[in-house]
Parts: sequence; C-alpha cells; structure tokens
Amino acid sequence: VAPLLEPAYRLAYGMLLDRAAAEDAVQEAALNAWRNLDRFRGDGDLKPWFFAIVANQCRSTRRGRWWSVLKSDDLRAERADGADSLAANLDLRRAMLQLKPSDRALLILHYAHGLTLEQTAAALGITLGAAKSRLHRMLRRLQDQVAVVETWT
Amino acid sequence: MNEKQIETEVRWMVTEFPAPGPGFEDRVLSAVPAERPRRGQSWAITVAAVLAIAIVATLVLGARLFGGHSPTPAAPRTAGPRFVYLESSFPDSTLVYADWSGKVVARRSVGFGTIYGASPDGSLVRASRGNATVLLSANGSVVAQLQSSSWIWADDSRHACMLDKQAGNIEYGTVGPAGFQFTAVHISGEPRSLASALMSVCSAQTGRLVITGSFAGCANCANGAGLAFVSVIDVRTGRVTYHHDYDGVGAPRALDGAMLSLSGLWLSPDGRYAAESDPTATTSRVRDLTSGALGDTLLGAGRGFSGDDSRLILVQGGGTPAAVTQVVEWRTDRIVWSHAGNDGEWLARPGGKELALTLTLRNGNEIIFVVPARGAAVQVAQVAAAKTIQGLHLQLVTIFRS
Repeated sequence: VAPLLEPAYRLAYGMLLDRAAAEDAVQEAALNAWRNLDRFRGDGDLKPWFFAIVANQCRSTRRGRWWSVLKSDDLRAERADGADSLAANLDLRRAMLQLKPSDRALLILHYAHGLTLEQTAAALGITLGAAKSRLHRMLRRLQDQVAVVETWT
Repeated sequence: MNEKQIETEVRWMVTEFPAPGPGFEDRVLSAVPAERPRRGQSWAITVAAVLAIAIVATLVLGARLFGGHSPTPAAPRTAGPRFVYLESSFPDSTLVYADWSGKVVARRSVGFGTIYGASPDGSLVRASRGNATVLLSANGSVVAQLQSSSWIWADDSRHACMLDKQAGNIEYGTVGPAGFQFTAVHISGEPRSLASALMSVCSAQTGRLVITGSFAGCANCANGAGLAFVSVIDVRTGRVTYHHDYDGVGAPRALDGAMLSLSGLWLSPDGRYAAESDPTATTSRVRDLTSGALGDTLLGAGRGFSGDDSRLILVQGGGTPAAVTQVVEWRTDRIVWSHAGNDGEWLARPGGKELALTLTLRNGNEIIFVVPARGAAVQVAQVAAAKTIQGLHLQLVTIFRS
C-alpha cells in the first residue's frame, strides 16, 4: 500500500479536515487492510479496496464519541471568523470544504485520484446510480454557488 | 463554471491540503508488518468458524420464520434505568433518552460543547471551562470546579482514580459535588515502569485500578497493538494483585521491531476480565485478571463486555464492508445476537446483560440496537446514510438514572 498512502491521506484529510486525524485514520486503515488481506481478491484493484477501508475509518473517526461535538464546534468557530468576509464565503473552494465529508470524498476519489465512478461508488459503499446522482447534485450546487459569486462581483 | 473547471479546482484543492507530517509514511509502514498476517487457524478456530456460520444461519432462518433477529420471543417493554444517545448534527444536537427495552422516553435539545464526558450513570457531566474542569449536574448547573482533569471515573460514578507516574502513586477518592477528596498510596510490586502506563478501568465495586502499558515507540498503542503489560492494583493499598507481560513471542513484528502482541485489549467494567485480540484481529481470548486463566478462543476481535461480565461484543472483518458484529456469551461461545455492519460505540447496563451498540451498515446507515437480557434485539434508532453524511450522527453518550 506504500504508493497509496499519500493519496489515502489526501482522501482522509478531505473527509476529516484535520491533519493528525487524517494521518491516524490512514495508519489504522493500513493495519485493517493488512489484517484483512485474505478478503482482498488478488485479481482486483487494490486502490478502491484500500480507499474503501480508509473511508470507513474516517467515518468511524467522525462517529467517535466526542468528535462531532468538538470538531463541529471548531468548524462553527471557523465559519464565524470568516463570516464578515463576503469574498471568503463565496469562494468555490470554501464551498467545497463545506460539502458533506462523503461528498468531498466522492469528488476527491473521482476527480483527484482518477477512480472511475464505479470504483468510487464501490469505495464509498454506494450504488453506481447513487454516485451519479450525488455527483450531479453536487455539481449543480457548486455551480449555483459560483453563480452567486458572479452575480455579486 | 462547468464540470471541467470544477474538476480542476478539486485537483488544486487536494494538492493544497496540508502535507502529512514528517515521517508519516515510515510511521504507517512500520505499523504494518511486512509479512502477511498469520491466521494461526488451528482446528479449534476452524470448528469455531463452522459453528458460528451454523449458528448465524440458524438465527437468520429463525429471523425469517419469526420476523425478528432472534427466534426467541420479544422482551417486554419495561420502565427502568435509561441510556442516552446523542443525535449530533450541525448546528444543534439532541439528547435522546431510551430505556433498556429500547423505548425512547424523552428528547432534549442541547447546544454545542455542553457535553465533554459523563459519569457512568450520567448524573454528572464533565466539561472544560477555560483552564478549569467543572462538573455539571444533569440540569446543566455547575456543581464543582476541579483542579485536575487527569482522572477517570470509577464504575459507581462517585469515586475516581488518578495515576501519579513520577511519584509512583495511585490516588483513589471521590469526585462529586464536594470536589476532590483523594488519598495517595504508593504502588508496590509490578509494574516496574509507569512511563507508558494508562489508566483503563477504575472500579469501586471491586476496588481495582487496571492500568495498561505499551512497548516504547509502539505505533498503534491506542488500540492495543504494541501492548506491553496489564496490571491490576488494589486502590486502597497500592499493591499490584495481578500483572501480565505481553512478550510478543511468536507474534509478528513491525518493521521497526516493535512487537505487535495484540490488536486490541478491552476490559470489563469491573476490571475482572480482559478480552485480548490477536495481532490479526481474527480471534480473541478472555483473560481472568485474578488468576490469569485464559478462556477458549473466540472468533472475532473483542470489544466491550456487558455489565455482568457474561457477554462480549465481537467483530469479524472490522473496518471492512464485510464486517459482522456479534454479542456472545463468551464462556460458552453462544451467539446471542449477530448483525452485518461495523461496530461503533457501545454501552453496558451496569450489572446487567443488556448492551446498546451502534452499527454502521454497508449502505452507510447508522443504527442503534439494544440487545436485551432475553429476547430479540430492538432497533432503537436509525439514521440513513444521506443524513449521516450531512452530519447527523448517532452517538451513545452514557446511561442515566431514571
């Protein structure tokens, strides 16, 4: 999995928005992958299989006992800090960071890591149809938000 | 802006994420042994697997025939002590109160940051305010301000344990509305080094503090891999009543030589038993922390015990989409409940057999089940994957006195 660690970290960071937590998630996922090597089909593609374990680990981290309470609190503070900056609120990248973690994961896996939509769907544990409709919905939403930027500027 | 531009922007965004810290890859790779996991599949494990499959098949068939998760009749819905779970969402969260039959009895909206930790019975909530640690009553008022935050609750929610590594002492006393009242005693006997020790269980019921220690530099100590020892200390005398070293003999080693003695170690709430999972998280054995006796090999990685110590949560294939979570009576290996999905949080009813646990299913849905003392498991709440993604999560908080 060595060549996959860096992209796995990027995926984890995209879902957790926390460097240390992302590193821990990848480490735990690597151990999980090692423990479950016998469940991996030798003729399959290791990348989506490993990314699925990373995404699972990130979901577990987010579901951890105090994660959402404390981290969401941090997030809210960050949002408040930037509330007076209209430009920041209208930035596309900011809009992407405000997407649901699993939606960000979909964008990262498909666009940045080059997985096909089928592989992306498999890694996220959803159907191909769900992946397509979610991607379509996200693109519409992002385009709408950028359209607001253009109206205001 | 079209899809192509968004795609480009995603790529830029990902490349601009903060880089991992120095040595990240080495750290991860050193945590993963170079060789394939040794399954150590003795005939006993094979027999256990066949039996487990047979029992699961029986349960599934029973569920189909009887319309539930178990062929046994449903438990009556009775009033009793409650457990609480948190529906956590942005910007508000809700505490949901359920009784141990799985019936939701109340809901209360809470703000952010109001819950930091709770006593086992939920009557006191621990929170941070500035640099101070405060205890809040169930209605949210501050009842005590504490000088230290490095203590753990005892199982009666009134006592607590602290560990003074430098002095080699443990401190046992009360934490409550009156504040701190602790007495220090020096630890006598093993362990020789407390440098890596962590407090795991403090029990007023059995008068035990169970501490665990890790091999220096272990990569994954938090989950039990690299565990070096477990020690049981009498909280009143400081005497070590049981000590076990995990020497890692025959176990795989990480590239840096760290021993992967276990993949996990979970303790019963009273500190009497420990579930030890092998380095591959395939099997577990329960250790009696009085005599050191080991129980039979169980299939799956151990998790939490029930409050009466009789039941154990086991997970097979944890972290993968094929995960199965089970509750078993570990002394007889009888499967009480089984369900596909990855385990999350769990709570044990004090002194009882009941367990509440969250599962994440393959489709991403999150579910809380109550596995009662007798009868079929009850599904208390479910959050669909879509809502889970939006930030609504189920978290088990604690139990509350009714």
